Amino acid sequence: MGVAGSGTMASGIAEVFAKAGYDVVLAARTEEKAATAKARIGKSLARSVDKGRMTAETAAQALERITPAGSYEAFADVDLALEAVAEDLEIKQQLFATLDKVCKPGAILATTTSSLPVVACARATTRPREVIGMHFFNPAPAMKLVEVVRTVLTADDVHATVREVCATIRKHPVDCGDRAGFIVNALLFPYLNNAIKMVQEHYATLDDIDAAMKLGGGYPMGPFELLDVVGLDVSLAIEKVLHREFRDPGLAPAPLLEHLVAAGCLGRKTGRGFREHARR
Amino acid sequence: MDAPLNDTSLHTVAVIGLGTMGTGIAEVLARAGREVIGIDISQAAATQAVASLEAATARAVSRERLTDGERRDVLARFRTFTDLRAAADADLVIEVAPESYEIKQQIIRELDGVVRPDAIIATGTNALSVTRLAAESEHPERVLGLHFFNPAPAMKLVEVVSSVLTSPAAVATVTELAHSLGKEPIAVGDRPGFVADGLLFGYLNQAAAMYEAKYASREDIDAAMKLGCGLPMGPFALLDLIGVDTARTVLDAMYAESHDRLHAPAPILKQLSEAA
Repeated sequence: MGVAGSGTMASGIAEVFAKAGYDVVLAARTEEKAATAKARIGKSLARSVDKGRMTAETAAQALERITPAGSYEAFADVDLALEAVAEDLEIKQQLFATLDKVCKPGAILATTTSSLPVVACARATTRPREVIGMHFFNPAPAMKLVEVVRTVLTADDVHATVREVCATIRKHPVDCGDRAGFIVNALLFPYLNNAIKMVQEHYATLDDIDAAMKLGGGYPMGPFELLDVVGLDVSLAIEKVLHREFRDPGLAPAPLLEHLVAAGCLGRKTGRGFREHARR
Repeated sequence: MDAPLNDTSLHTVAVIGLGTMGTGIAEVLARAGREVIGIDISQAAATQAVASLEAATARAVSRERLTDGERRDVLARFRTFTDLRAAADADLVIEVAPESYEIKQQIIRELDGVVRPDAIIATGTNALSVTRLAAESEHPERVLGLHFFNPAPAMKLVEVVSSVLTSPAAVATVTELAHSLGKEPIAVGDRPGFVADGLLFGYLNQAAAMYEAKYASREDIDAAMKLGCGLPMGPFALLDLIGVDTARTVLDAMYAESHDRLHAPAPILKQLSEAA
């Protein structure tokens, strides 16, 4: 199993596979980045040990299964290559062209994209039948859901294999087609956008709307708490993709969101989004 | 109604319409020490409401949340009637009759002749315009919306809805009452769905449209929203709980006001509600 990337998502996914007993090649652009990602996984596993969720021995074994690499050439023998690099179509297409050259015939090539067309990644290869989307949720070790995204070109046996793989890593796969937002984001972000519009129109306050959804809808977080955690820039990017795909005026990002992003108020990560947060 | 009336001024509360919501609200009020006048045109509904309150309070006793003595007091504070004139002594009337302008407007017109001039009239609607209902009263400033969530004894949220005519003192008094009932009131203006349903039903509608377009299965959509967003239940489980007909009615009202295509009820909701 190969994981391409060195960010939170890539290391989280590598951790999930290693814990399930897979040998994982974790490849990034440089050996240093790959080593840093592996170190992050080591820390995450250590936290699980501290919380009594696994023994130190199991954690050590899982970490040992991860081999960091500074080049995608290391994917020559993988059966499944999963990329979690930046959400930029050009970067992903280049990566897929590389994976196509490096990976053995019959290997499945998967993208974790949340907002780009999977078929555009598939077209960058000579084997579009073997390309599929596997959208994990953050943090990958904790979140049970994987959206399995078939393009019009994905082969049925590839789809079936990926569903089986999800079961072996104890994730719950749901099937969907290759369109913007898949299931969760397509239902979540228009709701978040409508909440922003309520504030923008001075219909209700942030606190009242958050309280309404938590106490009236049973949501674990109010929309503005969630937006500040997800990041306003990330949210805006997803809303733009949804608007472009479905061309529905109701999906146009609320101007207030665009203004906050322009002002650099991106959420918890910058100390201010819809609310002020103590800098971490 | 110049100043907020003190809390004890809402000592006697009439609840009109003793379905699930009305009975739940009556329970909340009676357990918080209010005298509750339950009114339903159907004697059977009134009898059923008493039986429900007896059962709910018996459960509370067995869970040691209520003593036998307290239970007797709660039951003694709840009296039922089939005539609207029983609301004469109420400081506050909460109507949760069926969601129809005809029925609710009729009730509000009749209440004008029954209750004291300083009594507050609250509608529990979540789909109709509070303003249009208020306009039926000779004293529209005393009419506001008070939207509880089902089941009322368990759900903390209460939306207090002002029309452009509502007196701020009435809003303050009812908000204070909601606090004293252990609820979390939020103040909202008069638009279909208010805050919670306004955001929730748009989302439910899109889930229905997603299923209708065969983009994903009901089971997968429910699983995705539970496991991907941490929601307590998926959109289809929730739609079945709320009632597809209710969702359609609220969405129709939302679309009529917003003209947002995303609020136009998905055809499948219409088909299912017509097929009962």
